[in-house]
Amino acid sequence: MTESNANDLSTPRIGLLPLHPRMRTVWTLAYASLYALLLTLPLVPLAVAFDLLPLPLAFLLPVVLGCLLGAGYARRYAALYSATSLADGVLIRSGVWWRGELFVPRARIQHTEIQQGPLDRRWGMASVSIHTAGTRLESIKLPGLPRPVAESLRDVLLDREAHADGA
Amino acid sequence: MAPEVRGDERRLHPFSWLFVLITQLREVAFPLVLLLFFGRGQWWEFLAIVGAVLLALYSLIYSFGFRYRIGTDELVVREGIFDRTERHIPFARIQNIARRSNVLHRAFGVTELRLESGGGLRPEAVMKVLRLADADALVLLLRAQRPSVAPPPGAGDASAPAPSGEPLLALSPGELVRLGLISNRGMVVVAGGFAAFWQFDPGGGKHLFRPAFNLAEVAAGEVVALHAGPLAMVLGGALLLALLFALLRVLSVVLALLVHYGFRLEREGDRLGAGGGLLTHAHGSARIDRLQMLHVEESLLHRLFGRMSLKTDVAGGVREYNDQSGKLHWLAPIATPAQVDGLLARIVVAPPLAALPWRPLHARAWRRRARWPMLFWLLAACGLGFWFGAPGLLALLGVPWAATAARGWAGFTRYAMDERFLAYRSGWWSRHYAVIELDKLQVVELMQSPFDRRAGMAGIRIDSMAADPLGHGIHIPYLPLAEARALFAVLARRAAG
Repeated sequence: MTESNANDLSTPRIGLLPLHPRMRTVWTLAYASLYALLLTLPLVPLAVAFDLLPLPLAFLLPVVLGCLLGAGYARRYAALYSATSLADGVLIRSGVWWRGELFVPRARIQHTEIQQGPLDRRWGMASVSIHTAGTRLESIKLPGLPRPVAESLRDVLLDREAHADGA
Repeated sequence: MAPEVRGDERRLHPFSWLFVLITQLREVAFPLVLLLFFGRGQWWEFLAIVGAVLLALYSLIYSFGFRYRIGTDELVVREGIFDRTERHIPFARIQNIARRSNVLHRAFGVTELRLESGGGLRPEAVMKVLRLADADALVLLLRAQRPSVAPPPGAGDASAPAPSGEPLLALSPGELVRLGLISNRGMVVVAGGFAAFWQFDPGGGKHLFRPAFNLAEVAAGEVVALHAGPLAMVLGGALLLALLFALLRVLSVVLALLVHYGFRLEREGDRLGAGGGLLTHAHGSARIDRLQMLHVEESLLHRLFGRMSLKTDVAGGVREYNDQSGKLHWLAPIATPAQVDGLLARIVVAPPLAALPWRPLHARAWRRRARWPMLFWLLAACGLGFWFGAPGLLALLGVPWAATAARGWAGFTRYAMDERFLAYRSGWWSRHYAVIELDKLQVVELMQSPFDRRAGMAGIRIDSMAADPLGHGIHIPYLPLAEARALFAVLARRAAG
């Protein structure tokens, strides 16, 4: 959805939520290791079984290739990812191959949670979990927010009239 | 018997321990007994039995420690002996009431009552078990507490077993026989039984089924010895299959009668109550505004009999799909299409299903739907043709079949949105309708796969309360992209309230 479409839903209250620069690093590391693993597992036994490459090279090649692919995927993922805080909810776009746009109405939010791991604390990064009364999407996580942004998002989401029970 | 009232505190029925014990035994000891019979008798099993006995003892003491008190606007439940908890449940928070009584309950004149609030995984209070009159009085009190509603007719008659409201649907035994013929519950039960035996038998079921196999072998030998012609053999086989099929249907009918005998759906003020059952009576009630998605099922057999079924997701409490749990789930296990439309109109003031403004999917939706099954049949034909020669190419018949099925599916599958409802219907031979009020949407999602992007399509999915994760929800695939975006925007606005 383009920005103008997003504006159709409502006027932005705090707008696009910035991503902490370290989150790109986290995604790059995660996808690089995932792709490296996915390539190494089938390719190394194949290379060894058919004697295609000397062993060190048979390891190195898929790992390097996987890291490159993973890093490329992470770049694309970060470029396509966005979380926007709107007056009446949160809009999240994510995915590279399978893309999704998710709208969580503010009136449907049951509670929110700010989470920080040890590295997050060091980097001043946090993620916000939004809980709804839904079933499949009962909990939706917004990763990689700068801590002050996470706190202001929580405040914005909690600043609401008392809703009975969301039903 | 005088009611056990200490001050204004009430206790459960004096025989409650029996029912708690039975539940414990069924939940804990039954798998152990199976293990003992089918397992290899190891020391830890005996240890586990000791544990089970201790657990049963604890629950015994626990049930004696259960007290409840009816305050002016709240129910106070005190549980536990060593670790006491006192829960204050405001009447307004109790939204679902489920009651259940099996044959044993009825022999003692008691019932099990479960009170659920809006959220949480566990019911607010499980009263196992109350005297019938006490349960009725409590239920009536809970209903009377709702200020927006006038007391239902007959509210003064506390001794009535099921307080009566405005009847919406009652199923006759004839309808239940139809339900049994339509449903395939018998098959499910038999398959479940086989699976369970397979699970528990260390020999992988071979020992257990050995006599049956032997019998079958002997019978086959006898048949062969008859030197019957091929026609007689085929006819005999078909007859045998038909007999088995008929037996399964009879079992289904029996099960339908057991579960739903005397089923009634009633409206009591702003609540909806439904229940029935031959041996175990299960009755559930919930506030109408707690109903979430409504599901209408119409299988091929349903249509042959001119029937449908209507059930609902109800927000709050435990997600239990057991028909005997007492939780409101079925609004009409079987009903004519006109009755279903009538119920939708009377319960949620919805227009008839056929009158909703149905809109089709993308014009090429059927091609997208057919692609993968057609590819599968093509590959299957290649493989089978390679191994078995020309007969293997019969699998090519799957290709036009897949196309026909996809066309049929796309021909029926539609979505509709009016001022108050979002509806989605899908299927071909077996059809399913899902209807939800727009202000009950929790999360709205727009999804695009790589194939969607290439074809200029997108899908819309919504999440609601208490949805069955394995059941049908609203997931509208293959919409033209612009239409999907517009729908997403409108749904998001409506969900935001």
